Amino acid sequence: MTVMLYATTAATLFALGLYAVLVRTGLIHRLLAANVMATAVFLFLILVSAENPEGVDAIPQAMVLTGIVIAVSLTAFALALLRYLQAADDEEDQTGSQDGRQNGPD
Amino acid sequence: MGLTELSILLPVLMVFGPLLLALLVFLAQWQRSADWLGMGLGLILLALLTPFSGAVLLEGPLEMQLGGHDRGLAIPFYVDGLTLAMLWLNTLLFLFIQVYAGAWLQLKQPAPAAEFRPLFLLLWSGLNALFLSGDLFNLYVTLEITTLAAVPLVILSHGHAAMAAAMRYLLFALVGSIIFLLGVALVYAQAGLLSLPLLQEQAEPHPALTVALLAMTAGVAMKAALFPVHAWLPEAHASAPSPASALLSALVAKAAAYLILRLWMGPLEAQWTPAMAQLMGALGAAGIIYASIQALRQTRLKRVIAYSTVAQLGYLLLLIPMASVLAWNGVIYHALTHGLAKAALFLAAGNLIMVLRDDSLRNLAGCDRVLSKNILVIGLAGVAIAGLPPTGGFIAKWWLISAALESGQWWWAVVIGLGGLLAAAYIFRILSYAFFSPDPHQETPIHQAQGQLTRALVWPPVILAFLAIALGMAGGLLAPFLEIAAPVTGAQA
Amino acid sequence: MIEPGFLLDLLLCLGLLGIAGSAVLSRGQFRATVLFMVFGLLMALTWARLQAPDLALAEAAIGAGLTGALLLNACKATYTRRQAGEAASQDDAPGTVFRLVAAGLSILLAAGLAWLMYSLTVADGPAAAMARSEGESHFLGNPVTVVLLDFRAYDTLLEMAVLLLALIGVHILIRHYRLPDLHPPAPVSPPMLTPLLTVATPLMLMAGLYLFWAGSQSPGGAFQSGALLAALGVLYRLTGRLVPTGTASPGLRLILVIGLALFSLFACAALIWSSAPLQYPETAAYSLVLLIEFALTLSIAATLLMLFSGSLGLARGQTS
Repeated sequence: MTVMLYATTAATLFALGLYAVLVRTGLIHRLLAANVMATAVFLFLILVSAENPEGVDAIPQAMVLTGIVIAVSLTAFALALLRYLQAADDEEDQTGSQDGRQNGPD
Repeated sequence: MGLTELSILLPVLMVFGPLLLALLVFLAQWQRSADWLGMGLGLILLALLTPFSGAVLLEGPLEMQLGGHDRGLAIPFYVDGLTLAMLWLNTLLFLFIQVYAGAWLQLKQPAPAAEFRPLFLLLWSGLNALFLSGDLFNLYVTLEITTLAAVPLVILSHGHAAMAAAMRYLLFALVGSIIFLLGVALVYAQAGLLSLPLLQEQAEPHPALTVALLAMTAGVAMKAALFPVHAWLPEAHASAPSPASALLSALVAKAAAYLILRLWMGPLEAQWTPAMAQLMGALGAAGIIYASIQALRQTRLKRVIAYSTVAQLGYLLLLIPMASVLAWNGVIYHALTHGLAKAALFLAAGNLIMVLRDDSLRNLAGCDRVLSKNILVIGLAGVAIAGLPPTGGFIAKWWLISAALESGQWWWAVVIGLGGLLAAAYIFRILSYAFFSPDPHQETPIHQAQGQLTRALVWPPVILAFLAIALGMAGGLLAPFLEIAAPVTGAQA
Repeated sequence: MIEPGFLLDLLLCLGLLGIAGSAVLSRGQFRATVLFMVFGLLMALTWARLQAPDLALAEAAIGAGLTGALLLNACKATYTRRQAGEAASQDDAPGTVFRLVAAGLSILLAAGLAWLMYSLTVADGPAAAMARSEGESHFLGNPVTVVLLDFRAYDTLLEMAVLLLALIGVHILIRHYRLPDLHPPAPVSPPMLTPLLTVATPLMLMAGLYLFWAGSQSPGGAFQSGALLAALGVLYRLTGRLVPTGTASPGLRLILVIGLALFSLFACAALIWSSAPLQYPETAAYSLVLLIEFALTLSIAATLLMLFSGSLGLARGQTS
C-alpha cells in the first residue's frame, strides 16, 4: 500500500516535471522541472527495495547519492550559465536601443 | 609484458592516463608542456592499441571486473569489436586534435588555455570510459562527464550566440540524461542487474524492459541529436571553437549514438519487435534526408558541416532493422569514416575562419589558390562522407546496401544511395563557392593572413582526411576485428 | 483503520506533489525557488521514511541547502534585472493546443509509469543479493559506503570528475564573460551574527567531521560531510568573512583535485598488488579508505563552495 502510494507519487512527479519542461519558457522553471524529474527517478530507485523482506538494498541508495551529486553539478553550472546569458541579453538589449538599427544582422 | 597484462593495463591507461594528466594540468597550470605530454600519451596509447587489438582478436571479447569483485556486482570494462573501433577512433582523433589545438591556442587572443586543456583531457578520459563501460549506471555517469565537458567547450568561443546555444544544448542533455536514468532504474527494478554482459545472458523478454529500452533510447537520442530531437546541435556545433566542434561532432554526439547500438544489439535484444526496429530505421532515414537537405540550404560553412553530422548519425540507426554482420561492419565503418572525415572538415573550417575571419560560404571565393590545402581537405573528407570509391565511406555504404538487399529491405538501400547523393551535393556546393566564384581577395591582405597558419594547424586535417580515404583500402583487413563478439548473425563481409 | 504511519506517508506524498506542482508551474522565479527548497526538505523527510538515512542527510545538505542557495543567487540577479524594465514576455510561450496535448500525454505517462513502477519486483535481484552477502563481512560497516567506495567505487570516482567539470565550466564564464555590476549590498552583519557564527563554526566543523568519521560505519560519509562543510563556507562567504578573488591559488587548486587525484592514483596502484584496478589490498584497506574519503570530503567541500561563490578564488575578509 505504501509502495503503491510512493510509486504513484514518483510517476506523477516525473510526468509533472516533463510537462513543465515542455510548456514553461523560463529557464529557471525548466531547470527546477528537470530537477523534479530527477528526484522522481531517485524515488523510484529507492522504492525498488522498500518492501524487501531482506531489508533495504544498498546499491540503489548509492546510485541515488551519486545521482544527487551529478544533479547538483549540472544545476550549478546551468545556473551560472543562465546568469551570464541573461547579462549578455541585457547588454544586447541596451546597445540595441541606443544604436537603433545601425548594426543590422551579421 | 605479456598479452594478459597488456589487456589489463591498456583500458586502465585509457581512462586514467588522460584523467590524471588533466588534474596535473589543472593543478600546475601547464601550457605547452601539457600539449607535449598529451601527444606523448596519445602516441603510447596508439602503440599499445595494436597489440591489444590482436589480443582481443585472439582471445575473444575482454571483460574485466573493476575492484576484483564478482561478475554482476562489479562494474565491468567490456571490449568487443565495436568498442575496439571506437577506442581507435578516439585515440587517433584526440592525438591529431591535440596537435591542432596546441597551435590554435597560441594564436587565439585571449587564449582560453587554462580551461581548454583540462576540459579536453577530461573529455578524452570520459569518452574512453564510456566506450569501455559495460554497466548501465556507469554509462549514465560517463555520459554526464561527456556532457559537462562538451557544453563548456561550446562557450569557449566567447559570444552571446555560443552561450545561448550552450544553454539549449545543456537543457536537452539534462532532460535526456534523466530519461536515460529512468530506463536504467527500470532495468534494475526488473532484472536486478546493471552489467551489460550479464543482461545479455540473462534478460528475459519483459514489457518493463521494453519500456526501459525506449526510455534509454529517447534519452540518449536527445544527446546524440538524432532526428527529431536534433534542434540544438547545428547551432552548438557551429558556434563552438573549431577544435571543440571537431570533438563534439566526431565523438561526443557519436558516443551517445553508439550507446543506442550498444543497447539494442545485445543486452536488450530480446526486448524489441521488428516493427520497433523498422521505426528506428525510419527515424534514421528521416534524419538522413531532412538534415542533408538542411545542409544544402545553409549559408555558413560550419553550419553545413554541423547539419551533415545530424544526417550522418542517422545511418547508425539503420543497423537496427537490418541486424546482420554485414550491417554491423558497415555501421561501424561508417562511424569510423565519419569521425575522421568530420574532424578533418571542422579543423579545416577552423583554419579558413582564422584567415577569413568569417565562415560564410560567399567568403570562400578564391580560396582554392591561397588556402589550397584546406580546400583539398574539404574535398577529400567530403568525398569520404559522400561515400565515393575508394574511401572508407564507400566500403561502409557498400556493406550497408548489400545488407539491405540481402535482408530483402531494399528501401534502406534507396535511403543510403539518396543520402550519398545529397552529401555529394552539399560538399560540391561548398567547393563551388571556392572554385567558381569571382575572387574578391586579389586586392585584400589574405595572402599575408594565411602566413599565420602553422604546419601544426594545416597538417592534422590533411592527415585525418587521408586516413578517412585510406580506410577504403583496409576493409578486408579490419573486418575480422569489427566482428569480434558481434551480437548479430548472418553473412560475413 | 488507517495506520498513523500510512497517514504520514499520505500527507508527505500529497505535500510533495502539491509543492512540486506549484513550484514548477508558478509564475515568479523567487516563489518557485522557495517552493523548490521546501520540496527538498520534504524529500529529505521522505528518504528518512523510506529507510534511507544517507540520502536524507545528502538531500538536506545538497538538494535543499546548496541547490537552494545557488537558485536564490540566480534569482537575485534576475530580480535586479527585471526591476530595471519589462515584465516577463510571454511571446514565445507555447499555445493552448500544445499545452493540452502535453498535459494529456503527461497524464497518460504518469498512469503508465505508476502501474509499471508498482508492478516491479520487491525481492533481491542478483546484484542486490551479492551486495548483501559480500557486504556482511566487509571491513566497512555501512552498506551504502561499501557500495560507494568499494563495489561501485569507479562510479564515485567518475562522479568527482563531473563535479570538477562543472567548476571548470564556471571558471570559463568568470574569466571570459562579463556580469553587470549589480551594486551588491554590503555584506549584512546583523548584531547576533558574530556570536551565532562563533557557535556555529565549531558545531558545523564537528558535525562535518563526525559525518565523515561515522560514514564508514553508519549513515554519513564524504558527500554529506563535504556538503555540510561547504555550507559553512557559504555562510562565511555571505557574511563577508570570505571575499572573492580573481585567481585560484595553488593551495585551493590542490584541494579541488586532491580527492579525485588520490582516488585515481589508488585505482592504478591497485594493479601492483592485484590484477584489477580499484581493488583494495589485504592489509591497511581501512586506512586507505579513510585517507581517500578524507581527500574526497575536502575536494567536495571546496568544489561546492567555489561553485556557489562564483569567483576564481577566495580570501579571508574583514571581520568585525
